[in-house]
Amino acid sequence: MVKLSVVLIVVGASFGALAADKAAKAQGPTDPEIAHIAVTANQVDIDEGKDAVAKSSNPKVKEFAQRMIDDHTAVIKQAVDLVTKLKVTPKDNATSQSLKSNGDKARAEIGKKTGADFDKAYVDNEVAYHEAVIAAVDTVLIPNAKNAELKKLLEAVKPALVAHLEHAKQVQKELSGTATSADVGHKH
Amino acid sequence: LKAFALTFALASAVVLAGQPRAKPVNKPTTHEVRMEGMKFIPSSLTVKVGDTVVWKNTDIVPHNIFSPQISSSTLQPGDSFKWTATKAGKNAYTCALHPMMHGAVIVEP
Repeated sequence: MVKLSVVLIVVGASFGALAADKAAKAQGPTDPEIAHIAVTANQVDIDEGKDAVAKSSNPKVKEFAQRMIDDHTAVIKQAVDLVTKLKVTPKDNATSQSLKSNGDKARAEIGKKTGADFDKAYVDNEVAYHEAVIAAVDTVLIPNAKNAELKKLLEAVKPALVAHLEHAKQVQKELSGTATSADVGHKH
Repeated sequence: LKAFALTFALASAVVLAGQPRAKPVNKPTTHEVRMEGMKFIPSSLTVKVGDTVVWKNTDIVPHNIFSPQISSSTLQPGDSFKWTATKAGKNAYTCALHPMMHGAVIVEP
């Protein structure tokens, strides 16, 4: 339980650090930094999804994880297509580095678990991660994006993130055995 | 010869005027449904038999069309899928990848 709490805290901490960062508060991330953060945030979730597809034996968890891989891969492709078109080079920054290192820590912690414990840790982490990403998109990334097309892309991502969060919460309920028959028929 | 031509034209006009008028045939129309923001827009569409529906994935993630009557492969962002209505009835469908997405095509005779 203590370990799980650690995982949840480190995942949320990257975006928390972004909001608290003095420089970010002063002027906010630039468009090249936002592009880098967006790609990194998606890649972290893809990597965690690949771990779950490989390790879980629960069909609901594997299905959810595969959806995360496919959807976030599509988002990265569009982000890369857009920055290529705009001739913007994504710029590495403290938030991207924190996302990556905290994502790696979370994967290491989750990876130590097996069976139902692994499934629970992965799905709990997905709920926390998507909540943190949605908050960051709303309060930091969209408000600071200067380029209209980049802003539009971030706005377009949000409904998918919300659907992923609902899907993760549904799987979480099913794993804990609290899902109702209505929940089971409504995955997202 | 001129008189014959005139008589023939008049006779033809009389015969044609007596014919029952042909029922106007509906010209097939193409309708568009967008997949955007994790929704089908419009979520419900009414068409006639012979009409075509084109689904366009203008969203940021892949989607598909799934029902007993209509079924597409996975449509990546930018892809589209075309279906022609051949039978009257209601065709409810979903995105099998994101089952929260629902739509319907109502086909009238």
